[in-house]
Amino acid sequence: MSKNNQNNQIQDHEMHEDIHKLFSIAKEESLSHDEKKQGAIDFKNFMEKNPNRGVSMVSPYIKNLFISTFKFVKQRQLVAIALAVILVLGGSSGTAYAAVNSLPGDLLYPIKININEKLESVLARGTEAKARVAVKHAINRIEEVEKLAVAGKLEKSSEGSVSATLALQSKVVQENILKLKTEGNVEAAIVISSDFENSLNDHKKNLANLVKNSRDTARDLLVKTSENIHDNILAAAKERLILEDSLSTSNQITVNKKIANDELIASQKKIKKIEGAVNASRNIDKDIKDTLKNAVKTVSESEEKINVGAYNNAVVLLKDAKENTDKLEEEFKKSPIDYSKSGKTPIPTSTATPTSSTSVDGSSSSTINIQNNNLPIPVPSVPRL
Amino acid sequence: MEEIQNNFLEAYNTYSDSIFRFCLFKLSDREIAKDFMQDTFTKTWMLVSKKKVEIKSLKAILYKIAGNLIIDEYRRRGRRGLAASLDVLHEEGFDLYCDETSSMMDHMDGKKAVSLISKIQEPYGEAVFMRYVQGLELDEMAEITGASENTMSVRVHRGISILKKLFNKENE
Repeated sequence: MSKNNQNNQIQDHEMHEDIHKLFSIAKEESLSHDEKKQGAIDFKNFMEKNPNRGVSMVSPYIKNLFISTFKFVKQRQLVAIALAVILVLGGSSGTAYAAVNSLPGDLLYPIKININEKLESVLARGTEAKARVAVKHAINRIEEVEKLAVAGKLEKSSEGSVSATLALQSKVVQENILKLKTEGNVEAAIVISSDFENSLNDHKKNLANLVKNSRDTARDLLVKTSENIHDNILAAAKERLILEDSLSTSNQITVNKKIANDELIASQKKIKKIEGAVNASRNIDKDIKDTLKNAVKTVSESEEKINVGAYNNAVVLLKDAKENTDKLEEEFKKSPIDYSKSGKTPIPTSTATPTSSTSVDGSSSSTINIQNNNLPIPVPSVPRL
Repeated sequence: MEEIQNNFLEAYNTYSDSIFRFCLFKLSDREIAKDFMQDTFTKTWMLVSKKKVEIKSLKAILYKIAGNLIIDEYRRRGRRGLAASLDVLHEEGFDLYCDETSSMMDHMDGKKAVSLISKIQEPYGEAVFMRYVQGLELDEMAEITGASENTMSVRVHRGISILKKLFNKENE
């Protein structure tokens, strides 16, 4: 044990129980879920605006806008157009900035919805970032309802538009989550779906409190919005469960793949070793050669199964091959009596009977049942391995 | 390129809480600590971008940059840290026991706990905080502060002694 470790142990032992408690409480002080999430988004945006090129700190969007018009990709064209629209509408980016906190009914609200948020969606790179932005916008809609309710500006007339925009935003979230899943990024899809679900739950609680203290006219709309959120929570939870199942299956396939590949490598090594021993010997019983041939064939078949993703079937075949190679190895380890000269004494071989089975990875195919012949085990005249 | 960004985002998810806590410990203001934490990550990113620094331990660099930002802030404010003696601590109303039956710990929250540890005389408070709240190993602490592992061990030991005195005072 090092001196430092000893020191640590002495220090730990000497500590007052309340001091331990103090440290535990201090450890709990952290950023809230939303603070951390927002910080990560800001940091990501910062990194994208300041790419790691070691040369220039100029935003790639601005650079391309002036230098290489014809090389624009579609995304950057949209950025340029959006920027131009902001300049035309607002006269400066200050208008767009001022629109950030606007609420439905405000003069700047259309800029927030149609320019700021669309620009944010376009600037988000990758499906994951886009999905996060979609979640943020969906939550924005709910927060707007809450703010309006607190300010006493929530009117029954806006019921339709609130439901419609929330439904639309939720649809965008689900589409992005589905896209993430299709791209194979199931973990990110689960995290985002779960975040969305948690945020919706938080806001459902907020709305429940607001309902208690709201005027009659606003109460109906808040209740409707709350019901709407509840439906979205159920949909998000359902989607998350599907994703979790999908991830679990995907993990199982990965495990099966690894097992199959490991078994294949082990069998190939063993066969190579036996082949070496067989080749080095002059007189080898035909049955031994046949057994080896069978094992080689089975391994080759299992390799084909692995290539088509039927890992479970491959493992069954490799198990069969292993039994044959194990028997051969066992024979080689015994004393070298030359059975090739003492007549035909076959070594036990396995007969394979195909039966139907369904693998973990979902594919069904024939598997092998091994039936050993009740024959005396011969001792071949081959050198020890 | 995208891999580096992903690494940094992963680092953000892993270390943002501890860097924030470190800034809070040093600055005693939640909002400022949040800004400093964010600045720490953006400055680290810029450092890697501009100078192409090869990072061996991102955690250590993050702490170093956070420390530098805090020192700059201290200079800007024209004061030297938040170090305080035990007497000052008591003068400021940090009585550890509220009554005979319940200890102050029953009324303690995370912010208060961080604030209490930050009142321990420097450099011992920082050492205790790094070791027991941030969970850093002595070699990591040595790399961040530039002191030797032995020095850090001594500082932790003295910091704990100060805290012990503080907690035992009531029983004397």
